[in-house]
Amino acid sequence: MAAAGFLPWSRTGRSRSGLELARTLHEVGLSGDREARILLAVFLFTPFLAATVWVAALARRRLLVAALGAVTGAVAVAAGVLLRTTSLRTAPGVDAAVAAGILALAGAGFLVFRVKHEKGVR
Amino acid sequence: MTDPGGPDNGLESYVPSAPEASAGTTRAPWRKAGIALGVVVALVAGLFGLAALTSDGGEDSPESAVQKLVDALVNEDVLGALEALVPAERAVLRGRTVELGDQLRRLGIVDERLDLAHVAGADLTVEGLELGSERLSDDIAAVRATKGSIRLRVSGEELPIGPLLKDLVADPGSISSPPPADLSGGEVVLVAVRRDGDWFVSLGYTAAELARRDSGAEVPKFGHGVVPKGASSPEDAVRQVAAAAAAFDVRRVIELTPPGEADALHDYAPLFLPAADRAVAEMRDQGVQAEVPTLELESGPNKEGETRVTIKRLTVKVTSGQEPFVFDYDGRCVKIDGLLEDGLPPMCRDAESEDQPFSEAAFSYFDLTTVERGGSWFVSPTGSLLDAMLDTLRALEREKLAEVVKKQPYSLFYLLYPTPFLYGSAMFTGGGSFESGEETVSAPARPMGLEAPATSVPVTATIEAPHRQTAVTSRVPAS
Repeated sequence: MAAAGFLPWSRTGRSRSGLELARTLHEVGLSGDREARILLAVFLFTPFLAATVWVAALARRRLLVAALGAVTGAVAVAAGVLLRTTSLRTAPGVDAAVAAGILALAGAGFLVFRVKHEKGVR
Repeated sequence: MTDPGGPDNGLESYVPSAPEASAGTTRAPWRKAGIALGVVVALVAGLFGLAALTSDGGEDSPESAVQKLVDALVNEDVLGALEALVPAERAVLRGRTVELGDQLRRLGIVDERLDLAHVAGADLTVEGLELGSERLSDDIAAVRATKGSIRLRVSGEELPIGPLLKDLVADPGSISSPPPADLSGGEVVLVAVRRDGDWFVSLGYTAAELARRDSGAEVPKFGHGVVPKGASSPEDAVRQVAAAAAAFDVRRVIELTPPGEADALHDYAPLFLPAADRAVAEMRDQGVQAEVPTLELESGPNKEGETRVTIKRLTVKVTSGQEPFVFDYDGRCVKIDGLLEDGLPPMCRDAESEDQPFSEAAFSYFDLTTVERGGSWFVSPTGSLLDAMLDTLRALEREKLAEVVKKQPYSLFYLLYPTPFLYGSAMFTGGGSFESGEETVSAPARPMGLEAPATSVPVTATIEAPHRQTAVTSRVPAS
């Protein structure tokens, strides 16, 4: 998930990673309407979110892992879809991020299901 | 709680199975180390996110800022070019640049291949570039190329020329590449400015500094020029501009331009304000007076989230001892009396004819863009001009434009080089004219008493079209 943000996302003259693109769009003020600006701002924190998922996983806080993973996945999917709707030339990193985001969402859903199932068994 | 390998850290929430618990004895130190590493990574990543959110994308030196812009241009990287510009200027250009490309594509002036990330058929290369800078003040530096060369390779057939222009350009293949230019003479100057500790390229300061160098004036005292003073509302800003213009109060008009976007104008204004004041005094001696008896306004948001003020009614009366010149706009038609003996026919926005094919579009120039800065409202000159151009383009229909351009190719150049630009360029070049067949639109030389550059020479660009011959003439400095 975190790695997808470092893959090439666009070729606007030169190749830019997802994080670099989000930073540039934010800097030049081309991130669109309010919702898109918030989304790209949150996307800049996906490495942070990924690291917190890692910490939560090591701390065995499965519901926290699921929640943070779902947020990170949703942000990646939304940012990828948003990029696809612009006139920017996208690169494979966008597809990788969307795929990783969907996996993260599915993983989060599975984790929640499993925790609830285990609680039900007990 | 459940971690057998160490004290409870308050993070555990479930009871592991027996094998897990026994394995945990050996895994716990690794897990703790992993958690510690994760916390450090999270902190670094969080700081990265915060830094990215608060960064304006500037560079640590004037030369780096210019190098960033050059790299972006060479890579045809529009985002990079915008990023290299000072934030106040990029704010005016960003959305409008993107829409300009969209409109030109929609109208067929450029074709679908126009991509802001890659201009087909044009390849710019800069080799061996070395830059040097000269500080104009602590926060302003003129950066010049001391070494290197620049070359533009053009392949006319690959250029994204739209169907509308294809008729006007007889043979795109005949468009040739200009010879490479040596940059070592130090004549290419770009001005970088420092904002919040970072350096950016400023187009406004570059234009002002080039004009200053050309005129031979001294470097102004930066930060001691005209102080911007806004108005209480968007409409009030436009009313004050109109009142100041009627009073020939050039300083007040400049005061009503926004800080940031018009910083260069504010800083360099003391260089030309004395000449402007002398010209105004001369006009007053000759009995020239102006008044704006009618001014009705309406405002609404534009696409950039700024406020566009539309002039609904306007009457301007100028007297100079003879018959008064009266400009009257009633929201639909413009009527001008006193300019010509026979008078001019009124031009109405809903009365397009063969002579006035784009009358509706031409009325875009009755709107002014205002911005709010620090609680006060200012009139944005660049925003007003670019919004008017975009409004003009938005009002056009592709089929109708193609039909008119086929009959009158020059009409396209009227649209793309409107009169305000002509007057604007005349201010810096000492006069200009637009000639097309039997028609000529002239901008007065030395408006506001500005002296024309002594070394200026007329340059004529002639465009051969199948139907008509169109020439654009402008006086530009010989250098």
